[in-house]
Amino acid sequence: MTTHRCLKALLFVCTLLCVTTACDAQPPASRAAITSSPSALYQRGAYAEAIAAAAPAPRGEATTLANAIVLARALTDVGRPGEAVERAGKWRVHPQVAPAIADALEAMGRIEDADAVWTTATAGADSLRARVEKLRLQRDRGAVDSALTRVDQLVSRVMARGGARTASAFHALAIASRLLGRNDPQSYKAALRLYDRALALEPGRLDARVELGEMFLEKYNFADARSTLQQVLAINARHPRALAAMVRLNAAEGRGSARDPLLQLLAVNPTSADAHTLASRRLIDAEQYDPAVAEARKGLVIDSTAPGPWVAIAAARWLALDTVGHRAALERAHARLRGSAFAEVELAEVSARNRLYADAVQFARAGVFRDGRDARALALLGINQLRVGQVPEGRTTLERAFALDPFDVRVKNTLDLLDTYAKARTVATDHFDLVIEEADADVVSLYAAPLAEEAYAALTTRYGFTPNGRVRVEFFRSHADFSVRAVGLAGLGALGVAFGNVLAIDEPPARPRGEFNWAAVLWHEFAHTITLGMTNNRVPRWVSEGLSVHEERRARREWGGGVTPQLIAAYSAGRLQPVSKLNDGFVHPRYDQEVILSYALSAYVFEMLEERQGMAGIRALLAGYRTGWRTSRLMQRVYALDSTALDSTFDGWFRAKFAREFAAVRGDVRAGADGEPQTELAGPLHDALTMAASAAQQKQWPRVVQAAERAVTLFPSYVDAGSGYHFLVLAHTVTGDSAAASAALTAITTRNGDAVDENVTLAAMLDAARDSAGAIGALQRATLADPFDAKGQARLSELAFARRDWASAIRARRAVVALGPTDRADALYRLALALAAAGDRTAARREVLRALDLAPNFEAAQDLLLTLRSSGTPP
Amino acid sequence: MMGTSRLIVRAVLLLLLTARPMFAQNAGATHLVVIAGVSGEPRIGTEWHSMAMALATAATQRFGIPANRVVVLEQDSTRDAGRVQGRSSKATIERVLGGLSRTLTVADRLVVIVLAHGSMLSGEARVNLPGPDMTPADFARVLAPATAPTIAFIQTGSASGDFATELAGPRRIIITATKSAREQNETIFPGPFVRALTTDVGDTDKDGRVSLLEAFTYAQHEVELVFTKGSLLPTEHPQLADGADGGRARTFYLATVGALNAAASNPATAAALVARAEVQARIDALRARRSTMTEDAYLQALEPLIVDLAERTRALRAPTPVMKP
Repeated sequence: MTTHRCLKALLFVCTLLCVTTACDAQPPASRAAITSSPSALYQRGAYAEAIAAAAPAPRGEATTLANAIVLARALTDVGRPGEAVERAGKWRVHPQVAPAIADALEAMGRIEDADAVWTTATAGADSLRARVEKLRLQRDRGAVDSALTRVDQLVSRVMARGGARTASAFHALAIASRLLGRNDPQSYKAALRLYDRALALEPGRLDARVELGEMFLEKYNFADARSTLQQVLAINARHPRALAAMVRLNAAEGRGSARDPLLQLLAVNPTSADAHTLASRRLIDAEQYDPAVAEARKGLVIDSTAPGPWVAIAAARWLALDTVGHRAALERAHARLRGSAFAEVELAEVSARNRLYADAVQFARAGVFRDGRDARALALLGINQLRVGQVPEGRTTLERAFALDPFDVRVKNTLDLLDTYAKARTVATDHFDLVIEEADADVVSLYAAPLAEEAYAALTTRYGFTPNGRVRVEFFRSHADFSVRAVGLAGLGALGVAFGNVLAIDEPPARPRGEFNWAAVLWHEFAHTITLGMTNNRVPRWVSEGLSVHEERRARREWGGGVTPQLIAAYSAGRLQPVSKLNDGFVHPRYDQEVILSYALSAYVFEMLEERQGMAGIRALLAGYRTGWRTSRLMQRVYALDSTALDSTFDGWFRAKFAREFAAVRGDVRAGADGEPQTELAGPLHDALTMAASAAQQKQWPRVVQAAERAVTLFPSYVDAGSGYHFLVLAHTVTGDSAAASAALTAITTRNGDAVDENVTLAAMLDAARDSAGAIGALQRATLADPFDAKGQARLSELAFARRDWASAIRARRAVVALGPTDRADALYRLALALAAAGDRTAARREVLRALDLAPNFEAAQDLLLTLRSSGTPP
Repeated sequence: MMGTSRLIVRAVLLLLLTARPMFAQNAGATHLVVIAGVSGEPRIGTEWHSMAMALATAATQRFGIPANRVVVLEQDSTRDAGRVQGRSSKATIERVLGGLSRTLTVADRLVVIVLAHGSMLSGEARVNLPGPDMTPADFARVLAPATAPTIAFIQTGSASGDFATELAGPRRIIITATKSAREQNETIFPGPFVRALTTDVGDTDKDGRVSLLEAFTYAQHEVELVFTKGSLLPTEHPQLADGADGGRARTFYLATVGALNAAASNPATAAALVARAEVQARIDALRARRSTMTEDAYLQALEPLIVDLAERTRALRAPTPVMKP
């Protein structure tokens, strides 16, 4: 979709080269004049100045060939292509100026006129590029096969004559190779080499560099895309295509920035169809469908047939359940997209981004129907088939996509994952299929199976909704594999993902110990299954996430995170969106931490709403989303709160609920090293913790305790590393007050479900203090978060067995067996003992037989077997 | 603590269960040679010394090997005077192993345990010793005369994989910490391997003794755990080669059984033990058919055999009546 614009600056650059060469021959005094020449001004993005210099008042016309090119290019870049055609019009017959005029005409949607002007350009020095451009236009008008055949023939002829020699020719061949990539994916590699050759010969050829960045982006090579685009923006920070590509790249990577490239792009070109399409998509993601349509229409001012805005309108209409409006907009888009799957690919992506995975399948399939060789349509179809649980079909589709484009890393990653994941074991419970990597299946299912069913019972009751069909949960030992399953790429920051009745989550070993609690993630993701199912996947992200975190917090006190100083600081500094715009905090974060803070905040919104009208209100809210209603209307209807009232009501509730915390924390906004604003913690809590840290460094333990206790009083729920409780643990441990250290650890572990090591330490302290009940509790929390902790499981089993807590002992001993101990016979024997003690003699006999199978002469096991058979009391 | 009668019964049972190889291997003498190389850093030197001493102690106190058949060579021969017999130089090693190689008979057994870093130079693996290093070929040459006795050679260090191919031969058990000379990181293997040999942790079949296979399997498992738990790429892959898929190592114990032979001299006990061994043989036969059975069917078939075995064991464990004149 972007290659066709790549030639527009070539002729200009040739001219620029001539000027630069001339410049080199001039004395230094003339250099200042050169750097402020029209072409130099244009190159660095000083468009207004370039226009003024190229066509000075009062006549406002270009008087030289070079100035005519600058004038046409600059006017087109700032959204005035009509003016470009008019003011540089008298030069249009010149082959060197023709490409700039052709681009202006194309920006206006005058495709036939553009084609004619490109014909003029074929008589010039850059005829190769002109011929490629004409064929590209032919392709865009639907004659795909014949156009590409001719491109192929053209390239063959050029190569037969010795290939390219100039940067311009290499650039033209690179564009041709990208076009040919549709039929021969190896051509993408050729394009990469050709871009490199062109840029080696002429590093200042910015449009070629942008195209290269766009190609990286298309192939999901985000790192190279970013560095390539940054190279362009370092020379011209206002380069429209580079800015547009950066907007797409940020969206693909989920990055936020205070210096939004979209705003910069709109400032450069207020009528850009590309810019308004991108802006419209953002509004769609923020569920503002009518404003999204209005925004897209702004992109039709110059070219009323531009496909991008029409596709955006089609997407907005679809999400607003306006099928008539959707079809009408799609027809307008198709008028310019003959034989192309572009619109359907975009619609599938928008649908998937808005969690409408079944719709994404439908659109991608329609795209494949329109163009069976569109690898992106096939890739989206396959990936979304996997998301809705059509695993065999998804695999087949992805294999088709891979055959067409082996350089799409999402497809390759996903196929690789399917190969390795084929050995996973499925453990069925009443309502779930737990798909777990074979080596971990015994351990994970021991905990996941009862937990999943507990979540099912709790949440289906609370929401009055039963998922349609079984729920598939896929567990991944490798976070990279999980990430590929979620988005086709490694590097996703999330811990779990819900596609509806298909969930994917990290197993405990996927992340460093203490970083997350997989059980809480499972609960969270299943809550999504409920809210997505109740709304037919039409729930806004902030609502679904907020409810999921709310449900985590309700399920276990230590799950879901509580209020944190970072949340209070960001809120008080005004760096979080108000409730009425909270979705933006998820889909268009302005800084890295905004998403995670928005999770925490949105959960409190639902705590407040549940306090007001209980689950009936929340159910009504979700039912409304199913019918296509939007948040503002639903809040008014269900809670009698318009957007302003919702924001102010929540603000009052939140500030009152955490009045103590607001008094303890202040958020100071300062520019960080990268120039982006950052919120720094300040206030009494920060002072107390700073004092505790300083005293700890000086080993003044009474002062540490004093400061840490003040921190705890100021912000009791702050339990993350570095909290007052952690300083108390340190000070009391050093001074030998294990009871006080245990108390502080208890405060941490009962509020922070991720605190595995703290639980283990607490268990050891309580164990030593002969508080076996407390030690069991701590070890149960630790082993739930990390069931792979063999030592913890073994100790838990001993303590629980001694306290006659057979259920805990059996589970822990099953875990020990599942963890593959070296002395398996002994582990099986101990499991049999626990089973026998719990009265399950059948299971006990089975396990002791397994032990004896490994070690027939294991005398204690022999004795147990004989006792079990004789109906005696086991030892 | 296990009762004395129980210990004797278990040991005697072992004699019968693995009758031929054990009687065969214990008809001669067992020699243990422990070689600790250049450690490179004090921590490792201390660890190796502790392991060497643990092996020497276990050899005499657990396995019944006479002290004069236990040789410990270390980089610092003065470290534990009297217990370290010499410096672990190439010359000393060649002298000690060469001497044994020439004198051991078919009934004898030689166990060589190397605690040393390995490396690869000019495509050849080496054991790092004070002075010149030794290659697998050097060890092969010095052990070449010993064609008759069973030799267990255990190289626990890095880059040890090539020893398996170089030293392989009939009546040889070669254990290495790595699969090739390219795995050159400090190894985890020696700690758990020595622990398995010198304590009960490796006795996974609960027969009261640890075979070389059990010790190897234990150490291999412990090594795997370290890498799996840390989600780390394994840098060592322990190997065992005995020409019999572990069958030779399974019946190779460092412990001698001379003291226990006497227990089986009671005719009644001996008869009971033979009967019990027959049950064990039936269990082995059932195990051989396991792959053709469901687990339920297998366990169902196994249970009466195990019960029979257990009852016979219980009977053997009962106090032996004292014969009164």
